[in-house]
This record gives sequence, C-alpha cells and structure tokens, in this order.
Amino acid sequence: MLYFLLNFPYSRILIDMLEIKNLTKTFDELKAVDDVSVTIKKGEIFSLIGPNGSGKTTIIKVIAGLLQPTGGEVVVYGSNISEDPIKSKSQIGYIPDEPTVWSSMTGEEFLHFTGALFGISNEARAKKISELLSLFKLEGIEKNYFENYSRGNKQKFTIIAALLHSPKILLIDEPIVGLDPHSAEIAKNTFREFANDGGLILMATHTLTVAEEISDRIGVLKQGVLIESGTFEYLKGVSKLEGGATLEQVYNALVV
Amino acid sequence: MTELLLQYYRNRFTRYFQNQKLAKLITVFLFLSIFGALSVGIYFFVRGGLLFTVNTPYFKDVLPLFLYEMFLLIIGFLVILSASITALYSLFKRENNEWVIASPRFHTVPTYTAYRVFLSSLWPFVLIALPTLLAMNTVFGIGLWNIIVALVAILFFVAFLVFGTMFTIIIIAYILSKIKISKKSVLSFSRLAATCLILVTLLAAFSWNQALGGDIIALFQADDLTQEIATIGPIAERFKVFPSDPLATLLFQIQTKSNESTLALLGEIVALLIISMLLFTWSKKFYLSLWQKLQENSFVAKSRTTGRVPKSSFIRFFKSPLSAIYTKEWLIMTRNIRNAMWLFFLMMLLFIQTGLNFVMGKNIAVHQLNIELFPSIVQILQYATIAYFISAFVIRFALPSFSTERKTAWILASAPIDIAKMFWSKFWFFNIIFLVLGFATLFVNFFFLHLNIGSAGFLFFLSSISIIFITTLGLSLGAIFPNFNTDDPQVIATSFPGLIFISLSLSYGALGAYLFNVTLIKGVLFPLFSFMVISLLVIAFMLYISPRSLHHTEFVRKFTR
Repeated sequence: MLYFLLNFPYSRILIDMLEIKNLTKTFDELKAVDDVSVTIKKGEIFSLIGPNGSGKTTIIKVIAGLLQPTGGEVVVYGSNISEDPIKSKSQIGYIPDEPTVWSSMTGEEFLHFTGALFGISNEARAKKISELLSLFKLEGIEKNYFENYSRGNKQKFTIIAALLHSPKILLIDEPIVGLDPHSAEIAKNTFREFANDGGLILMATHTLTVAEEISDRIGVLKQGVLIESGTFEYLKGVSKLEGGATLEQVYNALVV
Repeated sequence: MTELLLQYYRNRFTRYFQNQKLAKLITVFLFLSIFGALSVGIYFFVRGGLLFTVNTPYFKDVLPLFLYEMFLLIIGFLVILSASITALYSLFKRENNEWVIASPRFHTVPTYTAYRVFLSSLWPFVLIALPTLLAMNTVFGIGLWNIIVALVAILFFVAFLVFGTMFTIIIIAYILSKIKISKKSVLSFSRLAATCLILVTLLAAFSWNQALGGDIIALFQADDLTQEIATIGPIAERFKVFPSDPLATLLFQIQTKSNESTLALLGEIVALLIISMLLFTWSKKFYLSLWQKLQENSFVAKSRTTGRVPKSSFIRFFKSPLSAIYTKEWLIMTRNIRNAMWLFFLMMLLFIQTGLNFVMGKNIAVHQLNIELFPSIVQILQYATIAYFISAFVIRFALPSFSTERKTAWILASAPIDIAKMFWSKFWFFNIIFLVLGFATLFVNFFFLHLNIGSAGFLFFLSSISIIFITTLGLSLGAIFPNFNTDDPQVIATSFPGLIFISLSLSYGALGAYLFNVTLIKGVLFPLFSFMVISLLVIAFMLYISPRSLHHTEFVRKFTR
C-alpha cells in the first residue's frame, strides 16, 4: 500500500521537495538559525540573502550534513537527514563557500575521488569529468596540484564535483565568488539548466544581482530569522518599493 | 617590530585563559606535570650515571667527557635538523608573512623567524640541561655560579646553531636560485628542502664517522690493563673538530673544578655566536628576492602549459568509496613536504638509536665480551625505544589527523558514506605504516644483536600489540577531542588531547618495559600476559567508541556572528 502511494504520480509532488521545518541551530548560547521553515519544490531555485552572520551558510551546512540541527528537521525528497543521512546525501550536491581541497591532490584526482565517494563507476565518471572540464574550460590544467590553482579555478572544480553524480538538489554557498565574468555566466546557465531539468537549488549569496537574475524565490535572513520569503515581486511589495526597484534596494529596505 | 612581536606573544598568553578556563588550566597543569616528570626522570638518570663514574675511578674523567661530547653532538644535530624544518617553512611558506612582506618592514621576517626558531629550539635543551646541571651539582657540588655559566653557555650555543642554520638555508636558496638546470627551471621549495636535508644527512654521516668510527673500547683505553685512570686525550682529540666541543669541555671543567679556562671557552662560544649572527645579518639582504622567487613557482603552475605535475596518479585506486578514502590518506601523507621532513626527522632519531645499538653490539662482538644480561637489557631497551618512537610518530601524524581535516571535512561529510569510515581509514593506514616501521627496526636490531628466534618472536608479538595500542589511543583521542582552532599539528600535539596522549603513552610504554623486565629477568610471565590481554581489551573498547564519536563531530570553528 505504502509502495503504491509513494509511486503514485501525484504523491511524488509531496515528496519531490526539500522541506526545512522549524530548523534551529545554536552554538553554545548563540542562536545562528532560529526556527526557519521553508519548502522548496522540484525545478525551483531558492536564494538565501542576508547580512554576514545571519545564518545562510549554517542552514546550507545543516542540510549538507556538516552540522547537526539543534531543533526542527530537514527532509530531502522524503528522507529525513538526521534519520537517513546516507540516502539524503546521495541526492545532494554541495558547493562550499571556501573551495578548500587537499592541496597536494590534483584537480583530476579530486574529481575522481569525489565520484568514487558517490559510487560512480570509473568509466562513467571519466566521461562525465571530461564533459564538465570542457564546459568549464579547465582542460589542460586538471593534472596540476590544487594548491596551485587560482581561487576561481578551485571554485570551478568544486562545482564540477557537485554535479558529477547528477544530484537532485544543489546546495550552493556563494556560487560565483572568484569566477571571471565568462565563467560566472557558464555557472549561472548550468544552474538554470539544472533547475529546468527538474533539479532543485538552494543558494546562499551576497551577490544580489545573481539572486535577482536566476532565483524563483528569495528568502531574507536576519540574525538567524527568516524575516521574509517569496518571489522578487512579492518582496518588492512587502518592501513597499516601486516596480523598477532592484534586489539591492529591497535588501536595504528589509534588512538595513 | 620586536616590541610588536613581544606584545603579540604577551597578548596571546593573556588571551589564552579568557575562555574555557578550567580546560586550559588542566592543559597547562598536564604540560607542567609532563615537563616536571621528565625533568625529575632525567635528574635521577644522570645522577645515577654520574655516581657510577665517581665510584669507578678508571672512568671518572673519560666517561663524563665522552657523554657530554656525545650528548651535545646529538642534541646539536637535532636542533639543526628541527631548526631547518621550522625555518624553511617560517621563512618561505608561512601565509601570514605576506602582510609583512608587503610592508616596508619586510626585512624583519627573517629576524623574528630567528627568534621563533630559537625559542622553539630551546626548550628541549632546558628540559634536559637544567636537571643535568642540578644532578652535576648534587654529585660534584659545582655551585650556583657554575650552573649559571653553563646555562648561559648553552643558550649561546643554541643561538649559534639557530643563526648558523638560518644563514645556511638562505645561502643554499641563493645558490640554487643562481643555478639554472634548464630554461624553465625556477627555484622551488621542494628542491630547497631536499638540498637542505641532504646536507644535514651528510653532516650526520660525517659526525657519526668522526665520533663513533673505529674502536670505542680503544677510545677508553679499556684494553690496557696497566692503566689506573683512562686519559681524556683520545676523546678530546676526536671531538675537537665539532663546534660543540668548547661547550662539552666547559661542562667537563666545571665538573672537575679546573676552571682556569672556563671563561676562554665561554669566549669561544660567544665568538661562534657573533660570527653566525654577522653572517645571518649579512645574508638577510638576499631574503626578499628569494622569498619572491619561491612564490613564483605556484604562479608558473597556474598557467596552462607548465606546472608541478605529479609523476604518479592515484586515480586507478579510486574504485569504491572505501578504497578511495584509504588511497587519499596515502596520497596526502606522501605528497606533503612538511610531513616528509618531520618523518625524516623522526627517522633520523630512530637511525641514531639503531646505530648506537649497532656500535654497542659490534664492539661487544669484536672484544668477545660475555655479558650475561646483555640480550635481555637490549630487548627491554628495544621495546621501550619502539614504544617511545611510535608515540612520537603518532603524536605528530596520527593524533592531529582529524583536527587538520577541518577545512576539507566537507568533502567526506557531505558524501553519502558513514563518516566513521574516516576513522577506519586512518586506523588501518597508520597501523600498517607504524607496524612496518616497528618491525623494520626490530629486524635490524635482531640482525645486529643475534637474538634467538623465541625471544625475537615474543618481542615481535609484544611490540605489535603495543604499536596498535599506542596508535589507536592517539587516533581515538584525536577523534574524540578534535581541536579546530588551529591547523598546525605541532600546536595540536601540545593541546589537551596531545598532552593526555603523551602522559598515557609514556606511562604505557614504561609499564610495558617494566613488566617485560620482570618477565625476562625474573622469569614471571603473568603480569606481562595480563598487560597484553588488557591492552587488547582497551583497543577493542577504543575501536567501539571512537568511530561513533565522529557521527557527532561538527568540523567547524567556534561560531561568532
């Protein structure tokens, strides 16, 4: 019965999503995330914006499985991240804000290593790595040590690593910091295509133009609390700004 | 600049106790306890040795002089080696230096690096020198004035070694920067480090040959039965080529209260120090351009066609999540130059110990001495040495290995694998490495000392359990109490889990050696058998709790808004 219900086409609508329910995360006495609830559906790009220390990275890290929630729960495509972390993580691709990788690993080794962690066969990952290296114009430098890459190239390798296993969800912390304009364009198009193909993206960013350009919905965080969330148009409405207002103006109206 | 630096260290010290006071007070207490216990141990050890020489007239002059010379030579060599490793990194690889290099006070970097290296090189000398001088005072009544003179001489000697080492590193870097092997060749850090280590090895080989080559028995004139007291002439002659000789002679003069040339000897040490400081000051003018050249290598590698490309790839071993994690441990360990240099340092210590066994065994064989207890004493010494060295390897490599994963933990922690595998990969990796290292040392010593198979097999078995115990203990403490406030393995080694590990592993090694002694000398097996069984049970317990502890580990620094 349960199998039937879960596989019935309409029931998938209830499962194909990322649900953050009353999420709280404290560090000693500091409440970094305070009772945040958001549901993000398949095919949607949701951006978190807010001042430094407002809890954006903490939310992403909790969902990626790097931090444990103090309260509330996170459900990834029907799997609770605390109860079934391995199943949840296999559906997630994570791009950290600091692209730190073992300095004595080459870019190519890092990609194969990540692919192996996600159980992708040698042949399949070699093919996919080749395609993605070509897309991000990294061919020719993949055999250099990570310590010798520029920040932008390190970032590109972590983006590729997150896409290798064809995840259902992408968690992106500062997507285009350090990327040159052309690479930033490639990254944005890749993310948009990922969502168009049915993927789901949760992104934390200070680059408001990117959030405005590619997000379907935007959440505004302040001191760990999600003070507003909705489409750009909705946020303009609650900020009582004119139609031509930018996200920067909305941000200033809501946060500053 | 110096004032700023001193202020920085003062602030760091006062800020240390601003939070988690109890834990930090326990850490300091542990540190002082270990320091104190080692000092007391050294005091009684030296006092016992000196009393033996007093009660054995034949050796009363020659043995202390030989020990002073050998001790200063070995410690001096180790200071040069550790100063080389620390200075190489502090001069050319320290990321924080970029701010100072970009300022008009860039020339202060080598100076404050010299201060730091001097201070970090000093504590082993103080740890050993102070109790040794106190033991000398107890046995020979050398007096407070002589203790102060000896301490000042030791300080000057360490400073001479540090400035001399730093001058040599800068000059080697300068020479390498002028040698063009090919059009594309640039001064690389790995080439500089390798050249420095090769020179240190050559220096060790020369020193070894000069100090211990030939017949040691003849050095003590022990084959001449007509002599009532051995003369110091042959030893003084053999060691006079070393810069440590004035200090050893000074200590000997203090001991024998023949102080007529003490000030002259102190003057010699001061002269050596002044020369090394002048050379170092002169060499500082090359520093900026060398630093710049050593950063160029990474810029070259950023271009598309050139760069430092590894000769072998580990990709073929990334077959499954588990094999990938094991391979990663090996890859990270073997490609890290700093790790390789510290491994070299510890291997040097091991070689020195093995070499001394070799010299002892060879001389006993040559002179056909029949020492009944010799094999037993050597086996106990062997066991204690292995326990000590494995502890040193574990504290430098295995224990900090979880803490140093903080920045890269996102790769494993966000992957669909049980994070406990991180523990198991390190457990197998380090145990295999340390068992191989321990067995290699045992094999070499068995070869030199001609032990029977039964004794050798038992020592193998006991050593294996102890190696696994010490390694698992280090990994467990590292996993349960990770320190994410620093990325420096040396700092992690002296933080709370590191100090707990030092106390436990040294006590464990000492207890094992004592019980082994009881078994070999008195023929009682039960205590040692119980020790081995309890060790295995504790290993099983640690393996049960430690991997699980990683499920609750958050690889982050303390969060501040």
